[in-house]
Amino acid sequence: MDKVKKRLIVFGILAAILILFSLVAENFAPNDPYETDVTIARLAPGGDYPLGTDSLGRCVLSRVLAGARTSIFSALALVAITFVFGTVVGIVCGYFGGIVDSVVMRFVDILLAFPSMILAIAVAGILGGGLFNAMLALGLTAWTVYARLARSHVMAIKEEDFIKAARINGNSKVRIMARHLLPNVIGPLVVNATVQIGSTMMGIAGLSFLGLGVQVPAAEWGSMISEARNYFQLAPWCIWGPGVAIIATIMIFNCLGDAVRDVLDPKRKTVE
Amino acid sequence: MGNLIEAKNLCINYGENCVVHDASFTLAEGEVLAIVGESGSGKSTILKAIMQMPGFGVRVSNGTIDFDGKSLLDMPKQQMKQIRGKQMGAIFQNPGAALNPIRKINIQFLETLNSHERISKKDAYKRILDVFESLNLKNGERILESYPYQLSGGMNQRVAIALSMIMRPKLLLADEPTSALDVTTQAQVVDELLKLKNNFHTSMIIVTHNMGVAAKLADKTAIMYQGQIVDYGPSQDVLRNPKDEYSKRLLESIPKLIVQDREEKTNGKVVLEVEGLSKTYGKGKNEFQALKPVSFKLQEGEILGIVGESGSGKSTIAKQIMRLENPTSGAVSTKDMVLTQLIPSEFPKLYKQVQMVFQNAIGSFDSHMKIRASITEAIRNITGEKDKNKINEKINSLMEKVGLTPEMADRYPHELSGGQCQRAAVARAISLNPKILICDEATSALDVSAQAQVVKLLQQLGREMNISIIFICHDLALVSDMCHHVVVMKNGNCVEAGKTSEVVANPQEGYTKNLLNSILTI
Amino acid sequence: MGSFIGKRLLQLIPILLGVTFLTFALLYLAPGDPAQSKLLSQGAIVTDEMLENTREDMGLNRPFLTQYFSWLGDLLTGDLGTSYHDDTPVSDKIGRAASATVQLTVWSMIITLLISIPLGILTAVYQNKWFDNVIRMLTFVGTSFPNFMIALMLIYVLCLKLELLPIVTSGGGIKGLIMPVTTLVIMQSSKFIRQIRAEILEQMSAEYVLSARVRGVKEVVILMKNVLHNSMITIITMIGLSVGTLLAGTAVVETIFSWPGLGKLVIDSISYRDYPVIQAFVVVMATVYVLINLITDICYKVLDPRVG
Repeated sequence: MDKVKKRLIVFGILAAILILFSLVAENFAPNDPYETDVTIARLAPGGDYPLGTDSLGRCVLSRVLAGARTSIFSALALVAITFVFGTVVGIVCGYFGGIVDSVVMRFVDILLAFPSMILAIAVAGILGGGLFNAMLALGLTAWTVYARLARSHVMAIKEEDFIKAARINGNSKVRIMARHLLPNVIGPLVVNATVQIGSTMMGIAGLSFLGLGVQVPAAEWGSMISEARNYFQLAPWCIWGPGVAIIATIMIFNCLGDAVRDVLDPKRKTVE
Repeated sequence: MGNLIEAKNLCINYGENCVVHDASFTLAEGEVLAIVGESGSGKSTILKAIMQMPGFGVRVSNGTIDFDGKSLLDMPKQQMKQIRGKQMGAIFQNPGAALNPIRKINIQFLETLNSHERISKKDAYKRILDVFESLNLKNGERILESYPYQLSGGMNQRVAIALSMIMRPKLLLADEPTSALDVTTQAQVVDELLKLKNNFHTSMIIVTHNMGVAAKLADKTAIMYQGQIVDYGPSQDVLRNPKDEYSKRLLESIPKLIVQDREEKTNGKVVLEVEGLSKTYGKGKNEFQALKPVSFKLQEGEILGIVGESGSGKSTIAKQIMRLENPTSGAVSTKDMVLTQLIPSEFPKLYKQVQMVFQNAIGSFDSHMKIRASITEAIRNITGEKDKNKINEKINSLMEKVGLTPEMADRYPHELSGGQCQRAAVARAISLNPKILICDEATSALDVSAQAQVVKLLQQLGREMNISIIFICHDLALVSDMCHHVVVMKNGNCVEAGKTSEVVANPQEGYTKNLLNSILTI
Repeated sequence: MGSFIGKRLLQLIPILLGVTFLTFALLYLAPGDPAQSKLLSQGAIVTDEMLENTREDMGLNRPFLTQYFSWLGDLLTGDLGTSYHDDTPVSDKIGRAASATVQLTVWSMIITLLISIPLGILTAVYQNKWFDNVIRMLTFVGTSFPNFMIALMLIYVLCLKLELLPIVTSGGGIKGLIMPVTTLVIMQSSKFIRQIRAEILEQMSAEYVLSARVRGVKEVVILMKNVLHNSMITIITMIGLSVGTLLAGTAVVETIFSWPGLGKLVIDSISYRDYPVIQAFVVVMATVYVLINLITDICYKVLDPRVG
C-alpha cells in the first residue's frame, strides 16, 4: 500500500477514535464539570484537578471532556447538513440549468458577497447566541461552497459521452442525477467536506469565543476559553486545557482532510 | 556523413516496468526516422530516453545512445542541458503545450535565444523572421505580437516548430506532432517539417501512429509493437513490403482511399429524412450558428458518411437527431414519426429506433458501473424487460455477437481496451434492435487495427440486422472505404453530398478537393 | 479596460442591492420587533403605548419594501441611521472605528504578503528539502490554530512571560498594533504559504515549462518570468477571497486586544442589541469585500490576456 493511503487510514482511525471518545468522554471526567465551589477557585493543575480549576472552582479537565461532544459533533453535523444540502442544490442546478439555476446562483452570489464569518457574527449576534443559532449563522453561507463545486463539476461532465449515453438509454432525469452524476462528482465534494471540518470547528469555537455561540454554563471549548480570558493572567491553565484540546482536534481533522484530498483528488490544490 | 544518433540494444524502464526491449537504430545527419506503432507500443518512450529530461521518469536500463559520437547516458547533467537547448529541439502532441499561454510569442522566442547567447533585439527579430520565412509562416510580425490563444491550434504547432528550430538544432524530436490537428492542418504541418528537412538538413525522429506521415516524411521507418522494433529499414521497404506479420496486419488495417460504387446494394427505401435541420447556440452577441440548414436522406441498409473537420457541425447533426439538444429549425423524420416534434416523454420511442455510439469508447460508459449494468439499464428502461435472467442472457449473446466474451461484461470500462469498449458500446446500442445507428467518430480514437475491426463489425451488423448507419468521421479515406453516400461538411455548411464514389472520384467543391489532397497515402 | 471596469461595476449593482436587502431583512431576525429592540437597548421598561409610539417614529408601520427603500436611500446618502443605544449617528461610530480597522488590515496584509510570497516560492523550489519540510510543518500548525488561540499564546509569551509589551494598549499607536497585526499575519501567512507553494508547484509541472526546459531556457527565467506570472493569477484571486477571513479575524483580535475598530464596535453593539450598528457593519464589510474582489478581477484581467 502506498504512503498516501496509509496516511489516510492512520488519520481516519485517529479521527474515528476521537469521535467515539467524545461520545463517552463525559464518563471519564474525574469531577462534576458543572459543580461550582468558589473556595477552590483557580487552583493550579495538580492533585484532584489535573488541569486546574476555573474561577468558579469547576474542574477544567472535566469540562474539557464534557465539552468534547458539543465541540466535535456540532462541527460534524453542520458539515454534514451543508454538504448534503449544497450538493443536492448544486447537482440539480447544474443539470437543469435555466431559470432555476440562474435564480439560485444569483442568490449564492449575493451570499458570497458577504465575508462568511462577518455575516455569521451578525446573524448570530442578532439571533442572540446559542449553539443552534451559531450553527445556523455559519450554515447560511457554508452550503454555497458545495453547491458551486457540485454545479461546476456537473456542468462539466453532463456534456460527457456517458451522460449522453445514459440519456439515450432512456434513464430518467432523477436517475441520471442520482445514479450517474452523483457518484462522479462526489469525490471532490467529500474532499471539501473533510477539509471543512477543521475550519467549521474553528468557526463555531470562534463564535463561542465572541460570546455568540454556546452559552455558559454549558461546557464547550470555545466558550470556556472566552470565559477564562478574563482572568488569563491569574489562571492561564483554564485556557490551555480547552485550547490544546481544540488545536489537537483541528489538527487531526486537518490531517484527515489533507489525506482524503491526496487520495481522492491528487491534482487539486488546497482550497479556501 | 556520420551518424547523429546511434542507439544500441536499448532497454527502457518506467520504474520497474520495462517498456522498450532491445531497440537499436541509427540516424544519419539530415535523415528522418519515423517510429510508428499503436498506443502502448513504447514509441514515445524512446524519445523521452533521448531527451534525458529529469522528471520524465524513464530510465535506460541497458544499451547505449550516442549523440554525435558521445554517449548521452554518461553525459554530465550540465552538458546535457547545453545539448538539449542548442542541438536538440522537441515538439509535442498538444499544439498549445510548448507555449506559455499568457505571454506574447515574441517574448518566448527572445527568452529562448537569450538563454543561449547574447543577441540584440534587432538581430533576434531578424533571425526569428528568417526562420518563419523559411517555414513559410506568413505575417511573422503579427504572429510575434500575438498571444498563443489568439492563434489556431495548427498555427500554434507551427510556431512551436519554429521555436524549437530557432537555435538551429541538428536534431528535432517530434512526438505525435500532427495527431491533435485536423487533416488539412496536418498536411500543412507535414509540409513545414519537410521544409526543415530540405532547407536546414535537420535530422528528425518523428513518433507517430499515422503511417501516411511516416511515408511522406521519413527516410527510414521503425515499426514498434509491444516495446520491440519489429520492422526497421528504408520507409519504402518497410511500409510497402513489411516482413513482420504484425506489420503486415497493421498496414492492411489502414483505410485507403478507394472509388467503389455501392449503390446497387441498397434498396432505395428511405428510413430517415433530415430536412433543413439547423442549430444556433447562444443569444444576441454570442449567437453562433453551428449548423446551417442541412438536408439529407438515409436509405435502408446503407452507411451514410458525414465528413468534416472539427467545428464543421457534423456532431451537431447527431445531437439534434438524437434530441440531445433541441434543433433551432428543420425536421427529422422516420417512416412513422417526426423526431423533431416529439416531447420528452416520448423520447423512449426515438431511442428504440435510433441509437448512438460515441467517440470516447471508455468515456461513454459510467466509470462506476460494470458494462453489464450499463447495458441492463438500456434494456430495462427502453424495452421494459424486468426479468434479470433474460436480460443477462441477452447481454451474453450480444457480447458474443460483437466479438467479446460474456465474461467481459462483468468488467469496468477502464478494464477493457478502447477497441473492446467500443464493441461493448455497439452491443449496448444494438441491444434495443434499433433501425438506425449513429456513430459519432466512433473509430477515431482507436488504434488502426481496432478501428478496422470495429468498422468490419458495423458493416456486418448493418447487413445482418438491417441497420442503417450514419457514420460521422473526419477521415475521408475511411468513409470512401465503407460508405454508400457521403455528406461533406465545413463550418456548419453542407458543401457537397452524393454517392461516395462520385464525390471521391470527381469532387465538385474546392474544399472537398482540399480534403482529398490532404490524405497522406503510403 | 475602461469598458471592462464599467461592465464589472454594473454587475455589482444587483449584488449590492441583494446585499443591502438581506442586511435590512436581518433586523427582522431579532426576537420581537425593532421598536421593542430599540427600547430594550436603551434599558427602558416597555409599555404598549411606548411601543406604538416608537413604531410610528421609526416608520415601522409602513410596508416592508417602503421601509427598505427609505433605508437604502438614507444609506446611499451616507446616513446609516441612529444608534438604538445612545441615539448618535451610526455613521460617526462606524467612521471612527473604520480607520482603526483599516490600519490593522492593511498592515497585516502587507506583512503577510512580504512573508508569504518569498516563502511560498522558496518552499516550492526546494520541494521536500529540509527547508520546505520545516516551513510546511510550521504552516500546518499555524492553520490548525484558531485565531483567538494565536492571540492568547502571543499574550502569554510576549506580555506575561517576556514582558516585552503591555497587554492592553488601547488608544492605538504603533505599539498597540504589534500584537493584533502579528496574530493576523500568523493566521494569514500559514494559509498563504501553503497555497502559493501548491500553485507554483502546479505551474512548474505544466507542459509549457517542460517545453521551455527542453529548449534550454534558463531556470531563473522560467521561474521568475513564466511560472510566477502564471501563478500570480491564482494567487491574486486567493488574496481577494482571503480578505473575508481577514476582516472576520479583526473582530476577534480587536476584541482581545481592545483595539477600537469595527470588530470591537460590532461585538459591543451586539451586547447592547444595537442593531443599526450591526447592520451598518455588515453593509460596510460586504461592500469593501465586493470592491476588493472587483480589484482582484481587474488585476486578473491585467495579468491574463485571455480574460475578455
